[in-house]
Parts: sequence; C-alpha cells; structure tokens
Amino acid sequence: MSSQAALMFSGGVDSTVAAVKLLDDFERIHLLTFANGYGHYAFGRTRRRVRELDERYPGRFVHFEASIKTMFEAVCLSSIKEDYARYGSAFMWCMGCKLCMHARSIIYCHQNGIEKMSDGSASDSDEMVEQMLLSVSMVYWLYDSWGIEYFVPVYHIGRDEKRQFLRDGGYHLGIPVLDRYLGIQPSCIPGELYYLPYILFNKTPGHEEETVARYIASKREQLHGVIRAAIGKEAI
Amino acid sequence: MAGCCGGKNAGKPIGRGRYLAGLAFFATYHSVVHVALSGAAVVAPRLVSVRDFHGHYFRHLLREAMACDGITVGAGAPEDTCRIEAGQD
Repeated sequence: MSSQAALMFSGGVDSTVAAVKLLDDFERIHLLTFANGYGHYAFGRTRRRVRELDERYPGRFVHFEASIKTMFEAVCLSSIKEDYARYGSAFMWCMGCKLCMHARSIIYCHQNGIEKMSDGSASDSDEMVEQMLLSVSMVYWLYDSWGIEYFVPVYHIGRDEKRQFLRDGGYHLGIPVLDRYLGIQPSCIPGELYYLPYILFNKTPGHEEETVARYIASKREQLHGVIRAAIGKEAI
Repeated sequence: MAGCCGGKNAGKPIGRGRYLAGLAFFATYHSVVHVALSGAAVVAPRLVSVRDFHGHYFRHLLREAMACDGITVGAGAPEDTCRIEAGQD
C-alpha cells in the first residue's frame, strides 16, 4: 500500500466514493477543498462529510481547505470579458475555477510530498465542462508536468452504483431532486447560472470540445507560472 | 454518453408548463444576481467586469431561451438527439 494520495473533495457523491475507494490503495488520503471567493457557499456540508469519513476511518484522512481567490482573479477573471467574446460561452468561469483548483492542488502536493492526485470526475457528469474526457485528459498533462500522477478513480462507475455504495455505508445523501441529491456539497451561484438552461430546459451546455481545449491551452503557461512562483521550482 | 450530447437530458423535449416556469425562474434568478452584482460593483470596483460579463451572458441566454434556440418544447425528440440516450431516463 502506498503511503498517501490527495483528492479534490467536495463531499458530494462522486468525491466521497472516490475517498473511500482510495483507502484500498493508500494509507492516508488528503482531502482538498477550495473556494474561489465568488459565489461558493455552504462549505459546512463538506466538513460534515469529512466528519462522517473520520468516524468510519479514524486517522486515514487529512482535510485541507484553502482559498484560490487571488489565483482565480488572475487566471480567469482578469480576462473574463475578452474570453467570453473569444469563446462565445461562459464555460470559462467553471473551467477557469477548476484549473485554479488543480494548480493549487499541485502546489499542495509538492509542499507535502504527494505524488498521486485524484478527483471525483465522472463520465455520467460529463455535461459539466471540467468533467469532459477532454478536460480530464488535459488536466492529466498539467499534473504530469510537475511529476504528479493524476487519476480519476470513479470515472466509469455509474451514478446509481455510487449512490448505493453511500447508502450501504450509511452516509448522508441529502435531498433527492430530479436525478441529483442536493445539500451534500457546497454550491456555486455562477455554476448554477451556467448550467441553468440545461437543468431547466434540457438545453445542451455551450462548450464544444475544440473551444474548451483552446481555452485550457491558453491558460497553461499562466498556471505553470503561478505554480512555479509558489513552489520555487520549474516544471519538468 | 461521453462526448455524445453534453449530458443525458440534452435535447430532450420539455412540456410548455415546464418551459414557462423555467423561463420565469431563469429570469428571476439572473435578475437577482445582476442586481446584487450591480450593487456590489459600486462598493468593489473590481466586480465591474464580472457585472458586465454577467449582463452580456444573461441577455444572450435570455434571447436564446425566449426564441427556444436549442430547446424543444412540447414535441418529439429531435433527430439529432443522442441515439444512445434517447428513450432512457
């Protein structure tokens, strides 16, 4: 069993199942939770989930919370109007936020000697721009540049199976609404606004793979710069 | 569904009642956020660009929603709906 891995953690169904699955392969799991300072709220839900995990697996989890506000402002918000005009969609708010979370995770991993990083990305949530296979693949290379292996332990596990897993474990599942459970992870007002047409009208979210790829590529150097400044090392 | 339709419900038809209720919720939520952003931008000028971005985005989406652009109201599933997901729920 390897010593430790990190997991981007909200406390939702996907990241909770990922946390428990990682226990099979790692002695200690670092749960990383980030807020961008622009409409993220209800982080008490994540802490509640961490308590649930701690009760079941004492001493196996370390929870770390941090703000990515400054990074998010520099990487995403500083060019949000120009990017919106360039890409014709608002996906860059969510994608930019997630890229900053990944950059902050890389910094955390370097500071704590962690070589494995994961998150709860899932193929059955791939309407979300940051969970598209393309985005996950490009994020893999971002981590790889810094000598960290990024993997997605629940990517191909179906939503029903994950829910049953949590039900069997006696975890809090929140309020079922449509095909989601509400109240178990932090919310994000801009994210809700972006996905509102999909939720309300079944309208396809406005992010094409090619556009998303161009956006991620355009932010790559800036992200490397932020990481470099924080850890005082060059990418591989 | 990966790489197929942008979500399992994307493109599926909705009823007229849901469309109208959704439109009301959509306009109300965005309007409240925009009013809040406009007020906040007075106190914190760094939010001006966020307010403007949201304003553009809201107007764009509202035009699309009112024109039913990409939304199927009260009809059968369009032919370009993902074949894998069509009929599943």
